[in-house]
Amino acid sequence: MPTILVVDDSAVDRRLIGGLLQQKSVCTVEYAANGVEALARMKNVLPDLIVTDLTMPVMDGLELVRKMRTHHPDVPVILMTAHGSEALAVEALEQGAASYVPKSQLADRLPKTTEEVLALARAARSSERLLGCLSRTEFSFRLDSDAALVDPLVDLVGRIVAGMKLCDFAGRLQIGVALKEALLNALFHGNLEIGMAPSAEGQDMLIQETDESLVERRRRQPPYRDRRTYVDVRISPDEARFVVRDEGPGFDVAAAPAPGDAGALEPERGRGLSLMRAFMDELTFNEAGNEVTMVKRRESTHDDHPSR
Amino acid sequence: MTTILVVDDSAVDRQLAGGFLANDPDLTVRYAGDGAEALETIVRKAPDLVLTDLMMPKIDGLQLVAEVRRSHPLVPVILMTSKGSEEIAVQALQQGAASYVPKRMLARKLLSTVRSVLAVATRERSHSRLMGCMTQSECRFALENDFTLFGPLVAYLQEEVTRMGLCDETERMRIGVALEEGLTNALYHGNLEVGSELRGEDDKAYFALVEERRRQAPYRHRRIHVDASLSREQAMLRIRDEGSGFDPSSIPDPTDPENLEKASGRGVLLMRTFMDEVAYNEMGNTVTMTKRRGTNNHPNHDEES
Repeated sequence: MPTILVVDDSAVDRRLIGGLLQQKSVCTVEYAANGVEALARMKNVLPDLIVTDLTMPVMDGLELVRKMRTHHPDVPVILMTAHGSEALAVEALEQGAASYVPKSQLADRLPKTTEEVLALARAARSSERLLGCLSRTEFSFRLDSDAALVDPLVDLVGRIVAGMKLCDFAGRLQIGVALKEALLNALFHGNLEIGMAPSAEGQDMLIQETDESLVERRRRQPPYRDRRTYVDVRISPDEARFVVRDEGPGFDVAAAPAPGDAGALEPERGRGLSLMRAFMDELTFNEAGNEVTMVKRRESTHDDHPSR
Repeated sequence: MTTILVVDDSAVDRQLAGGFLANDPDLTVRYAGDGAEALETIVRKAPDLVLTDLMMPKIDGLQLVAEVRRSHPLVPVILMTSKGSEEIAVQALQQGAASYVPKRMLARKLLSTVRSVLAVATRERSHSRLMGCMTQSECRFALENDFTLFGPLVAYLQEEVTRMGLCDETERMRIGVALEEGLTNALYHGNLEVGSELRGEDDKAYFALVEERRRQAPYRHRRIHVDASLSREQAMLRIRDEGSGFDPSSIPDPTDPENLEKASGRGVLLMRTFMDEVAYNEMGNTVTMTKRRGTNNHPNHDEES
């Protein structure tokens, strides 16, 4: 049974709203007279939904929406707007409120809106639960040499890794950084054969400004333009495995600085490699040097501290 | 070059907004005098962003938002609001507008709002382009006996099949129905071993039995295993339950009109109609459905069974 917290400074309105909500659906209704009181109540237990007035003394609805966004982003907020508070409502919706009902139409629209928003929140939570049931996933991409594709791929992997609870936030970030290095490396050094940039940031700059013309030229020129980057991703609850292959001439793996070398953190390919090595549990190249395999295993301590 | 379409029935306001945008040399500005004209322009060549007034003759801003969302979901719309249009602005934001700028604050806020919305839209577009580069995908789920997970799972798999270019809108829906049927079978007939005889006769007793078994060993330990394997050529979707199975040859012939009315064969009939191939393993606890590229969901009469 869902719990709905009604926030309004008028006692009459609170009762009216509570009555409307319980008339049409089975729910528990709780009350607070302003934003501060509402937040205090939520220290103990979270409601499934908040229905709030906008103009209140102490803490108004807009401020409450802001606070909810920061502290309890999972709890949706429905606004009740009165004549004259529309501009405030627009702002609150932009800040993250889920919906609104004009006070003059509460009887007609509040129960229906409440149900819709609760259903949406349930659906969002089910999607999260579904990702928790994913026991293995594998996918492959064939990418042209466009740096704009790198971040979405890194994001996608991050979401799946998070859903499967393979590692915590810091671990996900490390996977992201290593994967980004590997992809940029394949796109720019591998397929477009553009000289070493000192770092991922440097490569970003290279993409945006300095050598844009060179990148653009090569993207239109054979043989560079016909080359693709092949990415295989395999994620299970035990490990994430990435294979990134380009169609460039490869590089001399033996000549790359070893992890402990003084030069390992220096510019050139060394830095990307060092990051990939430091963040992944396994890093191997094929002989030609145009394919890298990276593995990140489940962190053993993670069982004791499940992330939420 | 990034193109912004400015829609406003007042020529002065159009020029004003366009002028602020022209401060950014990367932006090209085009104009439309109302929603109808805007839609014509968008159909000819979609802009990167639409900036629109709300109150206009013919098609107003609210309708424009709804229409752009339907036909060009990746083109964001920013509203220009004025005093008195707040109520309709709220509606338009709920309809899917990306942001708004009050007209009296155009000078201060227009350019920064446009830039931040463009940045989000670019990320979205890159994401959808990335998905177009996917060549193969596989996933495996293990579900508890909880039908509330079916909706999200079916939606997830429909998305995968669509992404691979294996179906159009109609087929997408039919694939969803077939999957839902397969999952429902696996849950009720498979894992919970609740016969379909009760269904339709005494629904109350049927659901009471379902609830009871969900808490009872051995039923409650059983899982539904779903495997999906997709390429640009075909989608193979496999659903396995841990029940005792059934004799697949006992399914009533779905092509016999007599059997259309029978509850038991209905799920199988739907799956066979909507997929290119439906096969059971010998034990009857695994169904494998295949959808191939470019085959137009013709009914399949599946000779082998």
